[in-house]
Amino acid sequence: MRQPFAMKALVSIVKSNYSATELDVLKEVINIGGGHAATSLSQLIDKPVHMTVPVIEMMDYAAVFEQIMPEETVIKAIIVRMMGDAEGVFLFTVDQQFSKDLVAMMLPKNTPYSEAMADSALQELVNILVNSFLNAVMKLIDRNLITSVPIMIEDMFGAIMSSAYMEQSQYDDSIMIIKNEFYYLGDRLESSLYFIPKPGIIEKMLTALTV
Amino acid sequence: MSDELRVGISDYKVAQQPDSLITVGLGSCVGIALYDPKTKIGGLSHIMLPDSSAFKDTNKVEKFADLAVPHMVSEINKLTNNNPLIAKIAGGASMFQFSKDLPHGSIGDRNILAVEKVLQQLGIPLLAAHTGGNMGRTMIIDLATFTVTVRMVNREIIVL
Repeated sequence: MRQPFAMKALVSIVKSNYSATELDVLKEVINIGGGHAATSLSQLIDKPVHMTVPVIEMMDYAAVFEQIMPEETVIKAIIVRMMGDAEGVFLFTVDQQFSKDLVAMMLPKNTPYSEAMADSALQELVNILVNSFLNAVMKLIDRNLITSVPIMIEDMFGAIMSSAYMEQSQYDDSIMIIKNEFYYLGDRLESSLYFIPKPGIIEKMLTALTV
Repeated sequence: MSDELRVGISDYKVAQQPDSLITVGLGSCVGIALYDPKTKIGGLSHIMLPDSSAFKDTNKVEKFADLAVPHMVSEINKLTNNNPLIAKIAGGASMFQFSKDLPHGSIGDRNILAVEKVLQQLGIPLLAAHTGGNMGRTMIIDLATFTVTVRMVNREIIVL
């Protein structure tokens, strides 16, 4: 099949303490996790889903709200906590219209739409996405990771992002954006899976992978 | 012509009527509105964290409640001849169900307490507050009247 997605030119100016090699390793880990998540998503909606190279970028909040999404945009976010040998959260964001489309693709045709059912379907979808992501990463780094039940909130992108990062003890003005974006028939699905680890977790992952 | 000046996260701005000040997407962050009713000069601060003392890098004073508020106050004081100020605050939500699980309480709750404390230390009366809960807020200050409008994501509007 023709690759239906256009590779987004990623201008990643990474100002961080990681070496180019370390960033490549990290990108590969997120790529493998995201690839498994994309496959699960594809199976759930029964449509081909592709994904770009993961975004791994240091950005300050002003840039996040300028380049990713304005802070006042109201989105649905589903959050799953990661626990065990490493802590952090996964944040799946989806805009309001696309959450309807996504749910319609998941449920049998002619299922009457109800917000409660849609929210529950979305949470289940994210549960499956994150667990496929983590199962793949766990095999790579040989660590045990478990997840919480997903929770959903609907609020402003700015309020969600700043609170999510700070609650993972990431207090800097520059935050490391780690995310996968999914594509369906060349269109970007208006949804992203963010990985927000606690400080030190990336170093742990890199150590686990370095022989 | 009046302008609506936008205050970003970890920032504050000082202005005078007829302008208004707005900050968007307050989650666990707190927005602090200060005002001198005589000159109708006021400021709006969007702090992220309660306390700078645990941090090595405190160059960005606008980020911390304990530094941002005194800095904004002295900036306003220079323009107003040290007229007494009044305050209204909003924000400090615990956005997620697990926000309260943190060992020292939620960041939102700690931010609210830190702001209340610094206002008390500076002798600035807190006239109104809309804080806590689990929803993000947008905060708009009309500097002609010091009317503070808080907009929630569910379109609820609170006037302080």
